Amino acid sequence: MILNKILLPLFFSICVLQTAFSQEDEGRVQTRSLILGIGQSAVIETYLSPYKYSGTNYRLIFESERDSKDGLSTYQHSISLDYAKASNYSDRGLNHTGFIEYSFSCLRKVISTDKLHAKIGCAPDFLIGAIYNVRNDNNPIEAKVNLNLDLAGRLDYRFRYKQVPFVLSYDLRMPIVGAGFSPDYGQSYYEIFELGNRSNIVHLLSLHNQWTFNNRMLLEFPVGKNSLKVGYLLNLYQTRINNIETSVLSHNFMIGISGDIIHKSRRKHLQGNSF
Amino acid sequence: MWLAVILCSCIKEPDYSNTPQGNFDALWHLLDERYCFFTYKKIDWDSIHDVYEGRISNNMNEEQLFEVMSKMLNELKDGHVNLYASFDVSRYWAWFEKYAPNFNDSIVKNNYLGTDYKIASGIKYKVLDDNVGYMYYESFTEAVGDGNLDQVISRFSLCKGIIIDVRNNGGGDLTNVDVIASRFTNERKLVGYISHKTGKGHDDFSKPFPKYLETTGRLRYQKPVIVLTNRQCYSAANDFISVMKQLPNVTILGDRTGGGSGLPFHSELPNGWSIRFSASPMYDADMNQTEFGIDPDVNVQMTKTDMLKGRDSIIEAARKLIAQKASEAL
Repeated sequence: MILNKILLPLFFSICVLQTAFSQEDEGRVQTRSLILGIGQSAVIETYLSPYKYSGTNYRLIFESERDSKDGLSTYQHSISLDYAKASNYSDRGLNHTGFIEYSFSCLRKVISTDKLHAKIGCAPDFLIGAIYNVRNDNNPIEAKVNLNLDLAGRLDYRFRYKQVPFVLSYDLRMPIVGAGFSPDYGQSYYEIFELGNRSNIVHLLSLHNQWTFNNRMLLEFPVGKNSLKVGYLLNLYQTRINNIETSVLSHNFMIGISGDIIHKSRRKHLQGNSF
Repeated sequence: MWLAVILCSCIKEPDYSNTPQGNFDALWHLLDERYCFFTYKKIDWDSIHDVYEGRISNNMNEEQLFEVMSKMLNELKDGHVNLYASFDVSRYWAWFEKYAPNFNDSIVKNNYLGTDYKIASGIKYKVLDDNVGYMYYESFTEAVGDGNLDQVISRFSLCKGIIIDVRNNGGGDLTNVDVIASRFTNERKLVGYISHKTGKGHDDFSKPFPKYLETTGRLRYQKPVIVLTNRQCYSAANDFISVMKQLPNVTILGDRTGGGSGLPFHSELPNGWSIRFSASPMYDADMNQTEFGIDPDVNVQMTKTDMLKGRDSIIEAARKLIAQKASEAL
């Protein structure tokens, strides 16, 4: 029932957006970015332990972005990989956390001035990952598999400093509705996967049990034919399903490069009319 | 942006301090919410809290705190409940310590297995003089593969019967239970049930889910099988006995098992000590609890006289039973 009501519309929206993207004409700006991040994660996963684990977080994001023919829409594929190795306060426990997330943002310009663009839209996103506690036995790992439809937004502010064009961007993505996997409160993965008790493991996700905010602020400026992006990322992933609570708060310093594969110079794009 | 994120960070750690009182409260509440045998064992956990809290003081050192917590945990009478500190592990072993061992490792090694036994993963096996196959499986932590079992059953194919000795097997991986047991059934069989906690209340459980033993397309043994048990058969070994007891050609012989039918989970305390506890109860095919053990079909105890002669009374009883069943079959 949940699969039909949630997953099918999500899947349909992904297909529509993908189709729209692949039907666009050439000649528009297409940008690819590779961004690295390092920072901290704080993880609470009550299926494994009631207590917080903190440690260093590493992140790699690959993005590909293209505007529509009329320049009013932006389509962005984003793949993010992140890993954290975290320990508890007493330093006697160790968690490994790893996630892969794919999102496809479809943003429509709502404010467009010479200096400021604001875009809003939606973004289907798929997250898969796990939190693993090295000490635990029959409950060592908590898997995360979520498919969501996110509300997405972006603000771009263009300015110059000493004749160098800069763009300061803020991105926000927030899942509104989706579906995800969760075992029951005291259910083992042995019961689910070895014995086959798979009732009650797929759940509706929405604002009553999922509070996730993906925030990012990046400053982009040209370096040679490409551009450099530096900034800060703050992601909060929280769910409460079947009395199991998960909270992953990550913040990273980000640095990356961005290239415009249509125009020869990213500098010209940043300061040109296509912005 | 950050304010919104922080304000919305509504999931927080429990508010227990890393003091003796804080760790005691954390331990008691953790088990109160997650331990699965309070009602079955008729344990008044609230009363136990009051008794043991009186022994906690914030001046006590780690070893004193560990001792009080261990004694409280022993009220659960559960071999799957352990508190792990860097200097000790609490345990409740009365489920076998109070009883005759009914197993002598030296007698089995010297007078039954000898030195010419074969080894297939965790299984030591040999054909005894009276054409009875004998296999000793010490721990369900040792993975057993289909190839291993093909070799063992093939080796025993001309024997009158097989003795599967799981005495002193303290458990391990439940997957190995089905891998071995599936060689002794020709059809899919209901062998038990499992339940799990759905909430923090002592009686918040899921509907019991049936466990089935699937038959295998590989070599299956059709002649009499005797499974030897003692009080140290625990956890996965206990589950193995519960499963094998359902099968037509199998007889359980020896002493009552130690039990241990709660699938254990782990958690921890503010000071980093790890705690293991029974979280998910398993039942036999008739929905009986097996937490306190399973009676054998034939109760046999090792005698001192036999031990002095280097004989294992339980193995000898099993051999006699196989000979009897073999002659009945002729």
